[in-house]
Amino acid sequence: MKGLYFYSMLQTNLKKPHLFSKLLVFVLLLFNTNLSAQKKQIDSLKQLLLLEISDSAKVDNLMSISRLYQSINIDSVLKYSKKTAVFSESTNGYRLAEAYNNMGACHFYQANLDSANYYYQGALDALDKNNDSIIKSFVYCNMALMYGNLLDKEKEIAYYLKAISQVESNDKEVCTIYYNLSRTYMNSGFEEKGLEYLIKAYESSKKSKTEIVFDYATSNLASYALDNSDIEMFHEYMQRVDSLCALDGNPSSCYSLNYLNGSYHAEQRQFENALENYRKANTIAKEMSFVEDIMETTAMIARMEYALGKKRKAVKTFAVFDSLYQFHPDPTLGMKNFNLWAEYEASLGNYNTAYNVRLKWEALKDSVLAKEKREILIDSEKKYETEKKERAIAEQQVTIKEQELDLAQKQRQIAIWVGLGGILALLLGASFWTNKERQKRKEQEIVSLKSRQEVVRLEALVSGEEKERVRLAQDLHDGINGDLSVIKFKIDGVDKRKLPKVTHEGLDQALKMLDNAIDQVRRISHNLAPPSLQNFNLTEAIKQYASKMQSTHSVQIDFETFGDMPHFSSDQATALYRIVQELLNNIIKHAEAKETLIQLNHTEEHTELVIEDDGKGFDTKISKNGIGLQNIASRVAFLKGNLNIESSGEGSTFTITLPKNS
Amino acid sequence: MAISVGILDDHEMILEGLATMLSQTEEIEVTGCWTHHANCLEALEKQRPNVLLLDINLKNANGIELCAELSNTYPDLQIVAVSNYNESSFIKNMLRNGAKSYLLKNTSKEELITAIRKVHSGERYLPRTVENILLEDSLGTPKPKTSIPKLTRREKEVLQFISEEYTNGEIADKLFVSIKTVESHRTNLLSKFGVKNTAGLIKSAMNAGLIS
Repeated sequence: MKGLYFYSMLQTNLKKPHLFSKLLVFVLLLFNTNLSAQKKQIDSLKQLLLLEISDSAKVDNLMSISRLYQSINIDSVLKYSKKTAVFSESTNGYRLAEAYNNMGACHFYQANLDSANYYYQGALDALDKNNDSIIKSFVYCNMALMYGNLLDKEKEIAYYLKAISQVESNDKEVCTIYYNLSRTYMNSGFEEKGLEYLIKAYESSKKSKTEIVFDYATSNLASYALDNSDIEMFHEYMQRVDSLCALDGNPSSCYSLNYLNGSYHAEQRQFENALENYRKANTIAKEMSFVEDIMETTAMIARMEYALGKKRKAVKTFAVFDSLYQFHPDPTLGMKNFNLWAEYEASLGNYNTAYNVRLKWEALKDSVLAKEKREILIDSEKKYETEKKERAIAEQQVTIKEQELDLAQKQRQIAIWVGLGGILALLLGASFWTNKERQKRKEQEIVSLKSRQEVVRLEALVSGEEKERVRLAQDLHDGINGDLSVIKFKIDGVDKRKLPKVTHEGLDQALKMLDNAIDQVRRISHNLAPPSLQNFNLTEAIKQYASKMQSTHSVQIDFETFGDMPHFSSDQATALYRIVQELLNNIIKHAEAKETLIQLNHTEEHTELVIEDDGKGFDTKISKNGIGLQNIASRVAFLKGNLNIESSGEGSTFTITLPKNS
Repeated sequence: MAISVGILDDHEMILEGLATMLSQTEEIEVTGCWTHHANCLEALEKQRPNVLLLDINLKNANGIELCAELSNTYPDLQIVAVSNYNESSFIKNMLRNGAKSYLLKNTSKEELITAIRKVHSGERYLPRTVENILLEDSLGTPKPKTSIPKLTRREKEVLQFISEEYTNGEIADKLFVSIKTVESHRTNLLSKFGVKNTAGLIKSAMNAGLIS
């Protein structure tokens, strides 16, 4: 039970320095709680701003205003810090680091840790130009607080140590940091280290007469000593607290003094003294209007009264506690005291009241337990949130680094370009020439690309056309001609002996007409897709075609082939066949030739198709664009070959050369 | 005894037409009709007809190749090609591969029966139309080597240069072509004149009056 008091004591002590260490970030501390006076001061400073004053004066002025707003409104602090930063930037960064630091602290208060970090970094950058070790220690200290909130203990401690290194010889500044560091160590379970820094804080604050730090450090040391039953040390520190209270009547020192003394006497079972101490502490707490402290001390008084056998008084005091509790229902305090109160009532035989108070306590216990659970949840949520923020910070840092790298690269590039400028000027002529060459090359590339595209187009066209022809030819050949043959079989199958002569003759005529139709369909089909090209090869197909043309026309057609025919794809063979077909048709139609020679030569280098006639010839310039010749030209292009036409009154020569492996 | 006939044609109506046509002839008996060559081959293993009517255009098979395969496996099976192709290359290839007869699909009943009878008795038979195709084809082939060969204009130029004792390299330069091209022209000329070397070429060319 007694341990609990000290625990509670530590808690109150813990809170205040924590708040204090946060306040530190605003460069100058003001514990003036006289708000109206502050507001008056702000108003007069604002009036000053309206006057024509220098920018640096404005900076000083704005800084003062933002400082005065500290205990009034954080948003206003931020607003005036921003204004300060703006003017500061226009005055070569006069007090810029301080402005940034304060902005960072405002964001820290508002839990915008990434923004806080951003401004702290800005402050550090500003300090690189205008070093000020005290300001730097503030920034580091604030960053340590930030990392503390991010639960990054290592960084927190590292930044405190950095802050300390900036102001190590300055006791006034360093004591606060020592104190904060000691709290961090204590909370992390490093009691020895915590104690070491607590003593440092105590000593440096004592030397520099930094009262608040000294007060808290001393109280903490005393509490620590009592907790460890080191009565001697306790008394030693208590004397300091006593003198602090006596010297300047600092209420929080006096409260600590009396509360700690009460706790000490309670442990020594000197309940009268303890009661007196607690009553004094209670009075101070009432003066300061710290409700929790009032309740705490009230409960302590009740315990002491009960311990002294003043049961009825104790019960009444608890009733006071309860009335305060109605006003400020602090569940922790309720939990600590209601069960005791119920016990006291029961010992007086007030079972009814005891029962009700006990019920209160039970209900509270449930809700506190629930609350504890909630707090665990909230705590884990906080952890998650902070982790998220940490990640965001890390990401932002990466982006900033990237931007820096980009900038550096750009600067390097600029430097290179500037350096190369002269040389470039000299090279301009040359580059102009090269450019022209390149353009020429590009044009050639475009031409070749176009022709390649043309080939692709032709391939699609030619093979598409050929496929269609083959399909059509097959439909005619196998489909219609098959059907026609069947019809013929049917008619032929009729027993003519039984038929009259007229009918017999009619049937014979029909059979002849059918034969004729079948022949025509076959011819059309074979023209569309030469079957010997499908079934045999190019040579065979050309031979067949030449022979057929010769049999139906008066022109003498010779076909010869030399060398081993390379493997042609069916598209290539078809294209060559079509060229022969087209040229031969042209010759028969227009050349009035007596003889035609088709020669297909395969050598190691190329395949050469020569078609010659002894006809009247034609003007190659005029006829070159004739549809027939265009068809041939596009097929030659598809074969990636070369077409040469010579024509005179003695006849024409068409030479198509295909390079090997085309 | 009746002549047994099998028919392989992927066109079912033709199969039916041919079978109907043949059914009216007493001496002929159709013992099997197949639209797929695999079925035909399977059936032939068990029981062989005397004569097989074979189409060239088959599903998943080539009648020309099948003809060679069948006449090799069953030398006593007489094959009559029945096709819509009227080109000499088809006719010659089928006959070369063992077919004893070649009919066009629009054959008359008489011709068909004649063909079956003839091949069954061990003769070859070609109807007049098919004979004509082969005749025209043989007339269209290059003239015998004794006559003057046909030369292209370029070949005539090359021949002229050779007769003037130009080397291949010099001819290539004159004609703006590669030496290899000149060489191939020279080889072609030797081939066309049916001679072994340049001396023979010059002699033949002079005889033909192509060079002076």
